[in-house]
Formats: sequence, structure tokens, C-alpha cells
Amino acid sequence: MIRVLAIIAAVSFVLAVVCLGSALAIAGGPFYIDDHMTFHRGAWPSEVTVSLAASPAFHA
Amino acid sequence: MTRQNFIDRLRAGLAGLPTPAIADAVADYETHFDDASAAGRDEAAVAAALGDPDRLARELRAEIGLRRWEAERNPSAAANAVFAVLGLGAIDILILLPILLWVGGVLLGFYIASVALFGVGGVLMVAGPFVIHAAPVLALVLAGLGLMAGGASLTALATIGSVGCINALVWYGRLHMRLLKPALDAQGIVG
Repeated sequence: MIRVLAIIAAVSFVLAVVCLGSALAIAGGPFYIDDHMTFHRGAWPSEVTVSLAASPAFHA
Repeated sequence: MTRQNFIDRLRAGLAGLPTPAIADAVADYETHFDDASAAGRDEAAVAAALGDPDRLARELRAEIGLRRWEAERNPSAAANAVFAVLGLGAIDILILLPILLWVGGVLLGFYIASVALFGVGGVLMVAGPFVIHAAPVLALVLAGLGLMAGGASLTALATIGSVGCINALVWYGRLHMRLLKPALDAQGIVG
């Protein structure tokens, strides 16, 4: 039982690494998905501001 | 205590177990009484030497639970083994309980995370190409498959951890019955 589980764990781990690596390689980088669920490849949009102070939630 | 009282209390303590297991256990103790009677020993003295029938029943229940786990290795047998060890109701089991709860919580967390990974991966693989516009379909499918494989890997690892923990608990239960209990009995502490 333990042997079967160890084989499953190892094979699925390798599969996960290969699949995620391939997905990242195909998608290319950098990429992002905007608010309209549209995929964009290339640099991050310049208007994106990562700041807590700029969040409307903080001014509410 | 008479032989009949001893056997009745033992049988009552074993209630709920499979009938053949009860019959085997009772037959063992009947043999003890028969042998002792043939050797001319008093029933009450034999009963006193055998110990408290309620505690003997608890230990027999625990042993049957541990043996079932060793034979079957399924979630029901695992639960049976855990409750069998906890059912001993001994002082040292109380020390074990916080460790058991902590390890159980961590394993449960791993199981929840693996189910979440598997679910997110499945949704990404099936619905991703329709929901995320202009994305490379192959990348979405592979990412979904990768997350599902990660979830499966985590589930297998958590299951290996669970089996190891139950085996450790079975080992502890046996240790309790063979070493700790006689030591506690010798000091007059009933386990």
C-alpha cells in the first residue's frame, strides 16, 4: 500500500512540475489577466499602482 | 468474585464486538478457570489473579481494533484503531491526545489543500479556455492538469503520513499494554 502511494506521489509530483513548467513556458512572461478576464502578454500595465493608500477601500 | 460473575462482566465489556471474537475471548478465560479448578484452586482466587474483568475487556477490545487495522488498512479500520487506543482510557493516553489532535489537524489541512488544488485545476482546465479570453489554450489546460497532479501528489503524501501516524499509534497502544500498564499496576495506578 505504502509503495503504491509513494509511486503515485512521485509520478504525480513530476507530472505537476512538468505541466506547470510547460504552461509557464507557453504562456511566456511577463503576463497578466485584467478585470475583464482577458489575457495580456508583455510588460505590466504602467497605470497599475500597487499601493494601499491608493485603494478606494481606504478612503471609504 | 465468582467465575460466573467474572465471565458475565467480561462478556458485558466486550458487547458490540463480533460474536466469534467474544466467544474466543470468553473461551480463553473459561479454560483458565477449568485448569485452575483441576489444580484445586479456588474460583475467587483465580478471578482475583486474572484482574479486573472490565479492564481486561477494554484491553481485548483495543487489541482487536489494532489487529483489524493490521489486517485491513482502510479508513474504518484506522478509526477503529484510534478509538481502540483512546478507549484504554489510561493516564498516559491523555498526554498523547494533544499530539494526536495536532497531527490530525495538520493532516486534515493537507487533505483540504489537496482537494482545493485538484478542484481549482479541474475548473481551470475545463472552463479556463472559455472564461479567460485570448489566453493560449494549451497553457491553461497544462496549468490545470499540473494543479490537479499537484493535488493528487499531496493527497498521496498525506495518506502516507496518515498510515504512518496510525502505525505509530498502534505501536504506542501495544507499548502501553505491554510495558506501561504493568509499570502503573505495580505502583497501584489503575490504567
